[in-house]
Amino acid sequence: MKKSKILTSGIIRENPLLVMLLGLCPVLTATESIMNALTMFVAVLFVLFFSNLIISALRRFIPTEIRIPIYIVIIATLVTIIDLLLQAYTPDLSESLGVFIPLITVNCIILGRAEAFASKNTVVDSMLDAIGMAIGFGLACLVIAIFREFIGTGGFTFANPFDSEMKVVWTPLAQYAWPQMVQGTGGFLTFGVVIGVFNTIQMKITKNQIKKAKLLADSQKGGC
Amino acid sequence: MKKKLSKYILFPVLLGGTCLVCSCALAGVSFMTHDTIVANAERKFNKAISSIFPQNASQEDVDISGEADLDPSILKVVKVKTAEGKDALAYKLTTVGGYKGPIVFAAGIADFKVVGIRLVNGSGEDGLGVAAFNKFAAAVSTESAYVGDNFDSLTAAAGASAKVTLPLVEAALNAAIADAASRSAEYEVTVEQDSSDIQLFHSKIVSGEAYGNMSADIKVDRKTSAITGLTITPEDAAGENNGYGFKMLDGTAEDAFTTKYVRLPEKGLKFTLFSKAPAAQPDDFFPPEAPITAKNYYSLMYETVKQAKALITEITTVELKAGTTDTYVVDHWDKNSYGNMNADVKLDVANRKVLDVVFNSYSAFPYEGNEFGMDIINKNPNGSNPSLNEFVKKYVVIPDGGLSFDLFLAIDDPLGEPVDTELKTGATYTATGYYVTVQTAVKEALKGAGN
Repeated sequence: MKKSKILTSGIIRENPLLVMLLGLCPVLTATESIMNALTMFVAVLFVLFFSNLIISALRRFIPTEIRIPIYIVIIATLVTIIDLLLQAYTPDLSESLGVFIPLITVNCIILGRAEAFASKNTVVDSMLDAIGMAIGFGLACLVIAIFREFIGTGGFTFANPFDSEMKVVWTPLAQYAWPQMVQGTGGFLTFGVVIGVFNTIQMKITKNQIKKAKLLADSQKGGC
Repeated sequence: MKKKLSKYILFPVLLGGTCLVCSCALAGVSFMTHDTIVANAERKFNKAISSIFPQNASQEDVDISGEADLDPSILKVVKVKTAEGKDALAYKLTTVGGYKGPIVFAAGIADFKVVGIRLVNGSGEDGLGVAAFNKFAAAVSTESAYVGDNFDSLTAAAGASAKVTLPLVEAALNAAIADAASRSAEYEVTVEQDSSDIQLFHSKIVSGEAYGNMSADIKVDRKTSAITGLTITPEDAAGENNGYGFKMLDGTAEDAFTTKYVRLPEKGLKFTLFSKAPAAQPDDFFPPEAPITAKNYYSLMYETVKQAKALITEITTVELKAGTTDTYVVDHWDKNSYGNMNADVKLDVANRKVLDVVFNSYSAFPYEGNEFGMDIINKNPNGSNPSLNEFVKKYVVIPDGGLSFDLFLAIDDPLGEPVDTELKTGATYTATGYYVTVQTAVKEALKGAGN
């Protein structure tokens, strides 16, 4: 498979959230705000990148029978490392995401990619896959977060992740805010709408592609 | 051909190796981030203090490391001078338990009222519990302070309910209020030596609370670890509850607290009555008739006894018993009351033998847990503690020919920490007291004999 295809497949065609519907639990909390979404993206990128890297590098030495416990130990270690780093250097974001950072350990995206991709492919391919998947996850989270934060708070708040005192608050529509959107209900609602829109677009693109292919085939037939 | 390693060996080795490498990596990262994480938590608590007492003039940590009786929900205490110049206290508190785990929070106390609460760390507790806490915290302010008996009305007004979390928060806040009351009081305790046995303390409490100021002359008998004289002078103009507080202080009130803790019995008020910190006492300990007076009286006695215990170490007197030439009366007292005793020790100096030990008094009393000590006094070598039985057989039960002086001179400093000696018996204080008593007599006899 082409390297570029590996990288991009996770972003659109095999988007872990919107297409494969993997790792949905943290999305509810991670998409409350753009800052949370970005932090979760960084955490998932870190864990996915290094777990894919380590597992693909060690794939020949890991016996099939004990591969899952070894993957879990490696993933749990990486998650604990990112959790400690977030607690130390971005404490407010760490607290805001709470238990969902440790829960990355059992996130299906990570274990799924380790099992389905990293254990069968080269290190470079696995790294590209990790980057693509993480970007796909991050973009989906970001889109959901933009809607949720804007509707839920009437604007956006951006803070320096290393110093939450330094922040820019832009909430021109605060008086029209619908706080339910930054609660669980809003998460489900927005997620459903985004999946619906994404799949509709995907279907239209696929239909167009089929239509184009048919037209091309017809024109080729006519030409003969 | 290469022989393959059995999977029963290979798999554990691989799993163990993976775990080992991962542990090392985690240890490294944990070491690297630990200090920063601790500093973050501290910064968060300080931020909470600043939020409760905005623009406070100063804050200073109170050293609570030596306070063994401190309520377990109190993690840290900070003295704060508010922007208005008032003294206040900020507490870092934790719920002891929780639905899933503890909540760590900051509480600001001024004028014995909780004027602000902020969450410091709720990651251990269930989300609903934390949400209820936050609702309650938002309802507490200077204008709507928690004063110790309005928890339900505040939570109801805030719409906060969490059956497990909130009662624990209430308990932690009550502990902080009680601690603040005892901490904000100022004590003056001076000691005047009366005699070798009796000491007179002049104690005073300025609590800042109405009905909470008083001074006292307290006579302490170091030998019996008891208060044998007590004169209290209220420093407030009026007595709490239409003068009931005054009745309590002069011992004429009839409630259980006055009877047990104020009125002086013939043998005095034992130190043990005042050994527990006021904040550690249960809610209903101080009588409802005059709770402020009772609390401050108890606090004053607690402080005095604490100082008395610290000042008094040990005293041992010895003299030849009247009308005898071979029996010494030894009176030994030390601050560990189970070692206090008075005994007649009969000696045969010429043959360097202890012939008999007769106990005249023993200050401690038999109770559940002190049966070991009583085995020494009763000279019982068949008690339930094997090491004590050995001690009794070797040092207490005296055979016909007597026990050698050398046995009682072998331990140089029995009152020092008897870590490796035979005095460590399970009734160590009594055993030490007994050993010192006999040793004192032996040394006195040898002195008299010119040895």
